[in-house]
Amino acid sequence: MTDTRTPAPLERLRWETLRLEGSATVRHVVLNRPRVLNAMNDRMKRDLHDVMGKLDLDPACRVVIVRGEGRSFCSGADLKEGSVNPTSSVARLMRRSASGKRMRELIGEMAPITIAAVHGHCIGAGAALAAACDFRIAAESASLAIKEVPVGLTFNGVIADTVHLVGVQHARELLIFGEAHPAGKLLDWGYWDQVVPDDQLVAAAQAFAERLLAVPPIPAQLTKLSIAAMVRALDRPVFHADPAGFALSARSKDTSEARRRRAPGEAPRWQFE
Amino acid sequence: MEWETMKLEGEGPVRHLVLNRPQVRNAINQQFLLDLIDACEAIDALDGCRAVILRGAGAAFCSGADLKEHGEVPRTVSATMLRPRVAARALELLANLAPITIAAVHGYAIGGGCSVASSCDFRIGAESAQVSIREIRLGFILSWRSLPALVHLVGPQHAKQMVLFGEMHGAKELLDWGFFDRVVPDGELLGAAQALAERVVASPPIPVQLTKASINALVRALDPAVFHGDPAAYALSRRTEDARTARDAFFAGTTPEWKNE
Repeated sequence: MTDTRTPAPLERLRWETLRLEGSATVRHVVLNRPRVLNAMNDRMKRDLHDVMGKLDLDPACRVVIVRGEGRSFCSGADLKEGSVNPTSSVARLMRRSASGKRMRELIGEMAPITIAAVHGHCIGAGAALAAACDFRIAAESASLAIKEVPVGLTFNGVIADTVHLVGVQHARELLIFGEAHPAGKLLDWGYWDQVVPDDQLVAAAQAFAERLLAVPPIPAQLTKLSIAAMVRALDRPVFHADPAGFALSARSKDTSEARRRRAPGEAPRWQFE
Repeated sequence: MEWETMKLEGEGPVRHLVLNRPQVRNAINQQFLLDLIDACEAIDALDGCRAVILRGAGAAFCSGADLKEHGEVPRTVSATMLRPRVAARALELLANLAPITIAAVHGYAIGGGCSVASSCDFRIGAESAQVSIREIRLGFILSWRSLPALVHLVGPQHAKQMVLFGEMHGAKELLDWGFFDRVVPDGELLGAAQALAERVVASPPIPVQLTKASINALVRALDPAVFHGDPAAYALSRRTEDARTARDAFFAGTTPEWKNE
């Protein structure tokens, strides 16, 4: 790969929760909170929004690979940050939901082609991030689980992309039960585009990126944007009330019951409120 | 809070986002669009903000795309598509802010300035307000995915009149067409915007926010899908020979001869 254009001043920027690697044409956005398996806190959401926004505006950048430092891609929303419980303010809950939605839209509409390179845990918000990308390459260790419903929440930000990727029936399985699914199964379901041994993950993503570089850039970009626009055409209006649904579910008494530690064999006692 | 091209003023439930390049009538350069994105993020992070009044510092609301920066056609197709994409992103964020947005428009609101006003929930015009969309006269299309918002406000027929011919429209006409919600004497503009903001503040917040989101979702439902080819159409129109001819004719006041190329 030979690209001699002047590197953008992006090189000089630093983020608290991620770092930028790779070349001017193929950037790697590396989630970098390995001690908490790259749990997604508000800072990481803001950092991701910022870096993706900047890469979108960089005409030299053609491919963005998103991957995780350490043992996992992303272990989901950082629960330590709390604020998602029956006493959270409606405004904050709706804001939280809306910010995730904006990130998904930004990634879907950005000019560079995006590849998620996923290993280890890929949970909740991490799955939403992976699903928002154009392609997904998984390591054999990749284990995906969307656990929001089991812990008492709706997570509509991930519904549309999951349905688009695996179809309505597999999406029901993934989203309603929230169990963990191994890489091979999700390759069969069409969620992953490739599954490779863990030590080859980054190289496989890089090789995929180089295949993209060999394609003429303008039609590739326009086609990517057209496919995203078509597939997602109804997502925005259909899901416009999801901040309300999220706030409603988060403030429900059943969320506490969902998270209560129960004795083996003890059935949950739902109050439907 | 202050950015290079705008500032966020006030405390409590009503804030003012002041477009702040008065020396060039608040013309929109690339920095303006990036600042607008940052300002929208900052507004969304504010607790208790219910209404935002957008207004221009100095003699005008906003004179549109900065022709000093915008005059040159970018070297590559990708770079040509970049501006309409970032502008669409900024205007989308503005339109979907949680607080109610009120544009207080005096003097010129040209091209992109009209698009900024169209992206707000309400528009109050001063009697001095003048709106014109000159993109076609300059040889290219009104881009920034901002045509839908205008069509929603004034309907397809008035939108065609405004966009195809690029003439100047006064406050009274735009009040009749539904672009402005109210027109007031210049000295009463900020007071009228403030009064509207206070009506918002007096209403219960959660249903106001949900209803705004629902109306936007309904009216704008198809906009991103239908207009996803907007940057390509802009780049195509911007990179024609006729665009050069149009630009020369616009500034020299001569009669252009079109080549349809």
